[in-house]
Amino acid sequence: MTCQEVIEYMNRQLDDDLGEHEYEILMKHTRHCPDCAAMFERLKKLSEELGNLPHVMPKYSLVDAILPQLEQVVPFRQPEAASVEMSPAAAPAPQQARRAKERHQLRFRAITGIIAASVAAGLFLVSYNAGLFPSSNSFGDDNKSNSVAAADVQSDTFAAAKQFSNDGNKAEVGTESIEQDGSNETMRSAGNDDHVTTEEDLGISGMESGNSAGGSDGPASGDNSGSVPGEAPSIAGPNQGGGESFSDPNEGLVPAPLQAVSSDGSYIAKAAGYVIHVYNAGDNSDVYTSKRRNGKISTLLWSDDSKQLTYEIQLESGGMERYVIDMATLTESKAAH
Amino acid sequence: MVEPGLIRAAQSGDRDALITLLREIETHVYRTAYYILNNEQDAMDAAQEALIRIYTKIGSYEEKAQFKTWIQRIVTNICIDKFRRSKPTVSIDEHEMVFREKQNVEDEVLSAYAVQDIRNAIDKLPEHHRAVVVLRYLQDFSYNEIADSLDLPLNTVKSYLFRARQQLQTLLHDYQKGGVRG
Repeated sequence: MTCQEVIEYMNRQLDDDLGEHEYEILMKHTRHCPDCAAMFERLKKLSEELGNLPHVMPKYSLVDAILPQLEQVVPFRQPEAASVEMSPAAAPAPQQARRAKERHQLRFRAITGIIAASVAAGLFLVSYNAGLFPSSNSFGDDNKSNSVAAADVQSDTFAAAKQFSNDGNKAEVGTESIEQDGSNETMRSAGNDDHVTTEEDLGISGMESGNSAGGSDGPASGDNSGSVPGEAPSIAGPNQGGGESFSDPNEGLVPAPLQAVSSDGSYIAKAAGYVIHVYNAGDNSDVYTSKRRNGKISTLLWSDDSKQLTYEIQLESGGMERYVIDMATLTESKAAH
Repeated sequence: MVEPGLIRAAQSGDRDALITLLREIETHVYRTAYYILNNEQDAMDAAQEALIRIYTKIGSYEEKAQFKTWIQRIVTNICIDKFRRSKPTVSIDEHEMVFREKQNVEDEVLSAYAVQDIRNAIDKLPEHHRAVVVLRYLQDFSYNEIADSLDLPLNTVKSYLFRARQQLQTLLHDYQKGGVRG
């Protein structure tokens, strides 16, 4: 065995990597080779001193020093790691008080909120997807892009909720719960909702989506839908178009045509451009076409008795106008806000 | 070193858990940076950068790897990439013969090397040899753990470590003989 090979044994001995037999070979060699014996002594000494190097500590807490920076950065989370935390973020405290309110109003508000929440969740999914890929690609290289992307998502979500809801409070609730969750889990449940929404009874599917997408009004909707599912007003959000609009993130940014089925199922209202067409659900015949409005139609909402269709126009100036179509007289009038 | 439960909580978005985790590892991260960079301020900067990167990338950690090798990979990468200086390092020659002269073994064994000498000698090693030595002695890593951290083959780790020891031993011997001090 050459001295060079023995030196490898010495090194491995320092790392406790030598077998008994190898150790004997090493010792046998060093007994007869003073140079290797000296080398072994020096290496042992070196190794010992390296092991005794001071275990230095930072002068101050590095984590404390970077906390302000960490506030600006969104941690990259495991997609599957968010499963548990849907429920804690749901059902904000103010919701409790509303339960005491009149049942009719409660149901109306609850459903509106749920629809708004699921619409917002759906749009959040879409906009989040659109924003996620570029930001995750550049991950770690550019922390700023992450937070910027996150900010975009939030504003998108808020805009979406505002746009598709006719109840400002509810829209905010929906947005809040989604932002709190801020997770892919929210997306996933929103994605599942698409399938549910294509079922016939949109009222019921609305309930389910509400519960799973943050459950802003979970308890309230449970009370009402459980007892009278058939009566639940059917309000179709823009995500009623089903899975297709969500399969392509780019396409999904343009909402599918807005439409709504009346509570008793006899009418279908569809927004087309700047007008609304109301069809007879039975034979698909034209019942009424609204006046042309100077803004985007953002909400279609049937009254519980199917006698009135309320819609909202988003003006380019940023304002909002609300109109009501009376199905008995087939006239429409501007509604008070 | 770090509880798996804490890691999972941090990965699932529990920010407090993530901060707690960072506090637990900050000394380990700093120590590696300190001995690779041989400069306190650079070590603070590199360690902070590493902690921020760990914070943002926590979700990409997979349990099949050891957490401690995952964080050491991050900090060594930062030290090697970001703080690469164009400073001379000794050339590590595979065939360099170690017995250059007869020495008085007794004298040398009795006197301990100064810590500063050891640090300066480490600083003269090529960066990957330096990283291997730091992980072996400051993090008590095994060959395999070093290989995982530095993404090097096991045999490369061994040969880097062995040659680094040879080189350190030679450098320190020179220092002790009153030769060139770092």
